[in-house]
Amino acid sequence: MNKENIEKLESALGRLDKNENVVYFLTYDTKNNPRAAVKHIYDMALTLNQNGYTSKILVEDNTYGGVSHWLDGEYNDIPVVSIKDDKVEIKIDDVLVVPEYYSNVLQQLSSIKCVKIMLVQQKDYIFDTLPVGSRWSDYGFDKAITTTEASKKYILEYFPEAIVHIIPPMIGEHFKPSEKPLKPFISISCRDRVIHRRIISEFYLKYPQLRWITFRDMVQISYSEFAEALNECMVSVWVDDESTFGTFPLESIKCGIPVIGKIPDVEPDWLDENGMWTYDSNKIVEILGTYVLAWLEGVELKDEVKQKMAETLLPYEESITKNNILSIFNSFRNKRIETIQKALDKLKVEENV
Amino acid sequence: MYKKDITVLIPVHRIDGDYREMLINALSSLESFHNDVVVSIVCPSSVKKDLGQLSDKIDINVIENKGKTDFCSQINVGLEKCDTTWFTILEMDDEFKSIWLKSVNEYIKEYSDVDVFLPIVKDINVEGKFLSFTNESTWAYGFVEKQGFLDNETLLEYQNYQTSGGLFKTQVVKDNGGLKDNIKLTFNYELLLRLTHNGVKVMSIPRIGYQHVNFREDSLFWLYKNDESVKLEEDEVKFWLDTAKKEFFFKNKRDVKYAEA
Repeated sequence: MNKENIEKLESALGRLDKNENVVYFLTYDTKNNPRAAVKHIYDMALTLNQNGYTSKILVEDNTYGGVSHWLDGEYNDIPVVSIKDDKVEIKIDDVLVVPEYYSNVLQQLSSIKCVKIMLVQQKDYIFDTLPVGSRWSDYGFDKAITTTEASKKYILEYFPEAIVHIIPPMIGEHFKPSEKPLKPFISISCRDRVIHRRIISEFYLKYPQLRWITFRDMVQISYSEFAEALNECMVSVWVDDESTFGTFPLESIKCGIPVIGKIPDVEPDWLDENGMWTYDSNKIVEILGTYVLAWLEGVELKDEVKQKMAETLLPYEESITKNNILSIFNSFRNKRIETIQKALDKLKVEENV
Repeated sequence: MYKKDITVLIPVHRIDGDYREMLINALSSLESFHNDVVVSIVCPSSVKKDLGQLSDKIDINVIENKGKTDFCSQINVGLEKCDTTWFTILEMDDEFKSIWLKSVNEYIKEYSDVDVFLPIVKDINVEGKFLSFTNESTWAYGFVEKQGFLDNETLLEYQNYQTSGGLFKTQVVKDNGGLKDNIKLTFNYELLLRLTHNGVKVMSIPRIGYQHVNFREDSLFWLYKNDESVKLEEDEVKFWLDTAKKEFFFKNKRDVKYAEA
């Protein structure tokens, strides 16, 4: 028995040594609709694959819709395997990353002896399907990746045994300031469609002289269309009370486009005087109207605001985030090698005795 | 030596009473960018005196007009003498907004194939109260074929565009015949119809670059509405609109016979 286990551990070490172990990212099916949370998963997988790792997108079955409609080619080169149809065998040297959304399957995954990591992008979902009173470590999940300091703090409050790493979403190179004159468009991103409609209706009623200004709905468009629209508009509007990170405002800031936004229930780490923020969603329309009229008159952002916008982005540089991803997954790998090596040494001692 | 590439044409037909003050106000709106533009006042000999000294900050070039002093004729005289690549029109009771030069330079650089840039015009009443915007509708979703660009088809349906404050390629307007002084009321409209019909690219700059006083007492359009001697009735307005729609096919003005319409 020991001999068999020794062989298993040795082959696991061999795979880790040759980077042949697999990082699986369990991903939910958006039916090929854009979703920032899914892009974050794909960004991590892509970064790892571009740096010698083997990572795969793990989905429930072969009906998975993919991301081809909204993410560029290289994202679609990431292998996708399905639990049901491909009969994936996860080995002890593999890594399994499970979004909080899938807390209901943790019990089923408890018997798998790989490196298990929770991925928390939306802390409100943590307890949605997690059995009452249970904790991640009950199922062998002792590590977590999240996107913000606030979220990390929250996790440690309820899962103090977890080792929590922060990987913020990447603000891609698609987003850059336009060299062309901006257009009189307003990019709007609201999680709640009722609020989305209300803002537009109120704006046109309160400022009938601005009815020619177009709102661009930034939901359900491809990543490149999204970047293009954000790149050419004069201002963006963001209302998402449930947001825990706030990718949209950062993408807007990276384009040099000022953001008018409602501060979400959980204040983003990066919140500063880098936009026009309010706690009161009823003030959005008035702020927007005032800004649009000022923009038409030629008023420009103050240098201090531009400076704050630039400073806001510094921690979210793509290269920094990529290095961060690699460093965290390298640490998982090294820790795994150490653990397997220890177990192997122990077995060898027992074998010799 | 740096060459000024834009001429501001200011048609002046009288300088008595409030007109002098209005002109001084209009000129003051050029102070922030007078080093970058040629300022030319077109006027009849009778009001020529002292016009060049109306501003101590701006060099004013006075062009004497010995012909008719209606708006179109004055502009055509100025256009004839204009040797810059671009020209614009400043009406003597209007003003440029400070963003105007910066925005036209930005758009000239980016849209090198465009021949006419219309700013958004802020229309105010004589008390300075905001009334409406003009030239903004090209940016409304689905209004024109290509957002921001004014096309002939749209113009045939919708007439409300303002040319004062617009930046025109001088040669393009010259080649297309200038303004037609025999068309009342709709001469601006006819010009835009003619230009777009002949493939001239017209674009709106989505910035408020020009402020226009609407219906100032004694202004041409005020007279058309209120002065019994020149008042235009609804049918006549329609006539001039229809005339513009017929005449834009022709580069040069033709005889417009009012009674035969």
